[in-house]
Amino acid sequence: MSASTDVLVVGTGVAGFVAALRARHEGASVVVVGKSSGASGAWSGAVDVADSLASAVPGPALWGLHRGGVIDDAITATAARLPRHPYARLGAGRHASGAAPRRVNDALQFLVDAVPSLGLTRRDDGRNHVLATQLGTVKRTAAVGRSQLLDLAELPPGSIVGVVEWCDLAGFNARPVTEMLRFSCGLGAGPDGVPGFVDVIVPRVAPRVGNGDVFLTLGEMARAFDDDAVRARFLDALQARLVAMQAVGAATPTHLLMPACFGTAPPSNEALAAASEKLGGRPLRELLALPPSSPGDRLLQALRAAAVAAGVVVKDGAVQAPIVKDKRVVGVDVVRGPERQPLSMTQVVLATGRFFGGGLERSHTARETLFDLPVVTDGVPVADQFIGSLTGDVVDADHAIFRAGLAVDEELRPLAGRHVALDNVTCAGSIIGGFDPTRDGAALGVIVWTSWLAGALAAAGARR
Amino acid sequence: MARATDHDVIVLGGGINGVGIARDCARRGLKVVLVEKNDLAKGASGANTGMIHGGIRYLLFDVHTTKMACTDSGFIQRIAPHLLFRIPFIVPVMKPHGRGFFSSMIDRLYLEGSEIFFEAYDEFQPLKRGKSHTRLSKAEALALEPGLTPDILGAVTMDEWGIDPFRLVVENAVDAVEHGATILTWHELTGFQKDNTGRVTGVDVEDRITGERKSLQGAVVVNATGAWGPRTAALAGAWYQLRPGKGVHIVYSHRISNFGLVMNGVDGRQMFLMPHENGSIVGTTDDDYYGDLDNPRATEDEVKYILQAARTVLPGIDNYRMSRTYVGVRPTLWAWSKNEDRLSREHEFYDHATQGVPGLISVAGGKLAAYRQLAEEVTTEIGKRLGNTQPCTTHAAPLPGAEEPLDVEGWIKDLPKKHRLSVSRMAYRHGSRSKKILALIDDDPRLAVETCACEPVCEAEVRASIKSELVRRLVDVRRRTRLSMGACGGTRCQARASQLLLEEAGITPQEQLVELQGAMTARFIGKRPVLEGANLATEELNQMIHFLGANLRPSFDAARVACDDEAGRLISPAPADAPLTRPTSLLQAAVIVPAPLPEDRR
Repeated sequence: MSASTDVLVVGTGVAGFVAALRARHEGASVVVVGKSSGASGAWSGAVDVADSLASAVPGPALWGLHRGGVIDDAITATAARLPRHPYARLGAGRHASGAAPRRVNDALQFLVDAVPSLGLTRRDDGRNHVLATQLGTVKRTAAVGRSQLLDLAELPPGSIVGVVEWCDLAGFNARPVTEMLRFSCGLGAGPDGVPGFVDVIVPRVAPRVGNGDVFLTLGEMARAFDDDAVRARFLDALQARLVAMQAVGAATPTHLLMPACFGTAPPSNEALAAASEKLGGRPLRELLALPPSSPGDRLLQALRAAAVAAGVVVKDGAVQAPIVKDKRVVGVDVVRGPERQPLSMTQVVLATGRFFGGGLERSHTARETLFDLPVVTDGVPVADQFIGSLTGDVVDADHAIFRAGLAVDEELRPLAGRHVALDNVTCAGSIIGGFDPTRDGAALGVIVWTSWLAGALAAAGARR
Repeated sequence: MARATDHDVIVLGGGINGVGIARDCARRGLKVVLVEKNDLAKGASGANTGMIHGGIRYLLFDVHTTKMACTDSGFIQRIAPHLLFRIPFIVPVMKPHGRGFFSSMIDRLYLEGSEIFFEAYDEFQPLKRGKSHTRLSKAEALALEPGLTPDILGAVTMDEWGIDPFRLVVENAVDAVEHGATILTWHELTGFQKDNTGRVTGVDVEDRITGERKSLQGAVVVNATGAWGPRTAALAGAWYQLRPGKGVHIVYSHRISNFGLVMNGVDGRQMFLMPHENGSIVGTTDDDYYGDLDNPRATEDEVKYILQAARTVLPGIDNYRMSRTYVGVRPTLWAWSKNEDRLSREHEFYDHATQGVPGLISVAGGKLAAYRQLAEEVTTEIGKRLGNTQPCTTHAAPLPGAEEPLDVEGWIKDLPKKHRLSVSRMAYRHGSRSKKILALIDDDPRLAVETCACEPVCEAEVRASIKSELVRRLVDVRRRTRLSMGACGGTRCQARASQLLLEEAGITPQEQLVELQGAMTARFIGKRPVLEGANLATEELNQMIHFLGANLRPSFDAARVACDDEAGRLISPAPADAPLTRPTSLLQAAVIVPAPLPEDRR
């Protein structure tokens, strides 16, 4: 017996879950199937939507502590600057601040509301936060979880930020981060100067795990922080270190930043407040993470839980063998291990990501992996072009291959040449080409917005 | 004999021949300085097949090279056993193309012919402790190497030695330093000094990192700059000619065969596919090279040429993941009207006195496996001129790390299991000197963490290497430790390694960023021709980690400018919507009294 659903969402990253939640919200029955979380698992914790200063590059502009202009204006500017960007193609530029149904702001609010446990926070003035990363660089971003919210451009004059090095945790030292933060922030110094940065080196805390071993990864440290008693001992050791620093007349921090390992679950308001209280009122926050990343795990767990709670059926597995009739996908097989179940649907949301997610593949020739759709970059099929013409010569050049993806129409349906290839498929997230998430100052913003749109379009298609 | 010079010998070039000469000179008591434009082993010495092989390729037309390489290969085994690993080869005897009435007889002749060839090579095998060949039936060959094409008549085995060529160069250099030599890496030769008779008396160099200029005086200048040699000699008004040959290899993310395999390209050239370190390498091409010596690039068509050949012996090779390519330019001796493959691998010396430039000697040609022999010959010649009669010891004196036998089992038995792999891999690089690195881990157990998880390389090894192995830049760390040479191509280790460089080498954060950009670009150039399949997916992740997560692109731009600008001031156009005061200083942060480190960091 074949199961059926209004909307099948392929992909269990941020794009897949947001599309599923939106479609469910619009009344459709939804099944989500995915093999992995793809690039979403590498999330730093920053929801970057648009950055007016991103367009100020090229040039030596780092802009340090400057938060840039209003995000809505930056969306319009991005659409104007990059005509193949989804913001331009799909109308975000036109509708950025209006009441139109494609407001990026509404998509962002949808995400904030979907995962309340993260405490995603936006600024009231519509501009970006300025946050520190694990390497000591700075990043401007529209929203961030409460545990990572320490806006460097917001600190009162005379603030000193302490970067916490836990001697129980291998592979992270405070000094390179504080030195880099001085460089990053010094470039955009305002009239009040920049905050001071100090290393806060916390001696090892028992318990030792194994035979005198240390925590090797942030993930292991985060699991230790899950335990209230263990976390309390770490915080006590940190407080003792602060007292010791004060005792020798060293500058003591007013704010504290640690790597993103304050528990595997999103830290609650209460837990953060309790930590702050223990640390003499100093807020303790997390740096933006590099993968493997606790914030990525937290976001995906929260989205999955929200989807399940909303009545979305979530399945781990692969979608294979699509049956296409008259440019409509009518059925697929959902494969998990030896099991193979047929599933029929009215609409499909394709949220399988790019090369890392497995949505696209390039070997000899480039193709989309589920429906064999053409992969396009800069308006030209990637096909079997030599890689030399799709990449630049230095690692941080603008590489055409990393803005490659599917071409879509305004209804987010995939195109083959000028024509819609599949009438009942909408694309969501990074499988849509035309934007480079690492270079445009807008990664998760585009992904959340297109998925939010795709979910609604799929639900509307299922109603017809 | 009194000389008014700083040095007896100036060696130009930090490849295997240069460091070999510097080591030999230093050990014979000569005062030697070595000048290298980039890092040690940056050119062909680090871009070869990584074997001290006898050169079976040359047996038919260059038998002297084969014999010399086998002899010297034996000496290298004695002085650096920790760097070596055996690579047994299977040489498949392919079915000849074009079949006819006499096919079975022709097949037989082919097999016998191959065997005669290997019998000739067996004569040299004892020189390098190699085993004689064995003839394998088709069934035996396929049982040993199941991925091998079934389209063979049989196979013959061959025994060769793999080596970490970077370590061989670095350890020669370290030994030279320990015997009094001075090694200046990242120093560019800007000109020669001559006296009024035209004799070369020294060189002018510039530190490419600090911009500092130095004059070095020496009684003899040896030009060992490989493919750059003729250009170097021309600076002194001397002349010789090479046939530079570009060689490309592909590296796979893991070992894709049990044995080394020998194969032929579409043009009949012989190439190798073999397990090497933690991966497999396939190559090499050999083409006349007329391009930029400083920036040779592997191209996608060269990759296709190699893969086409590899498929003939290992038909499933397209299922495996290529992780990068590397490319070098051989300083092959000049000959007109000869195919690249048939050029001699012998070495030669040119005394430019005959061209009116006394005091300058150029070395040309040569093989990795015969570097020590070349160095001995050159040093003896220099010794004659300077009245030094000390005997050569480089064939018997151990290289750094070979002083004591290895006790890897003993070293790792007290370590947690998860650290044992990186420590035992370290023993192949640092030999008995690994004990010093293990002492660092004893001191701070955090240093056992793997900075590079693919190879793997532990943090203690990276820190120790930066401190004591002539590391000046981040890219140098790769050649000392194999950091970022594994499957992920530096995706997870390079940013962290740049932080370690800041801590250990005392560079500034803007310099750290410039180093990171340079090291990432060096990896990217290698990965670029093979960006497909899983390798492209990994590079996408690499881009996300560094340019999305860590937002490094604007930081790279800013750091480049900051490093260019003496005052460290930046002047940038302000965007219209964000009026800002011009940054006045990079060091505007509050003056802070540093806290003393806690006593117990463990």
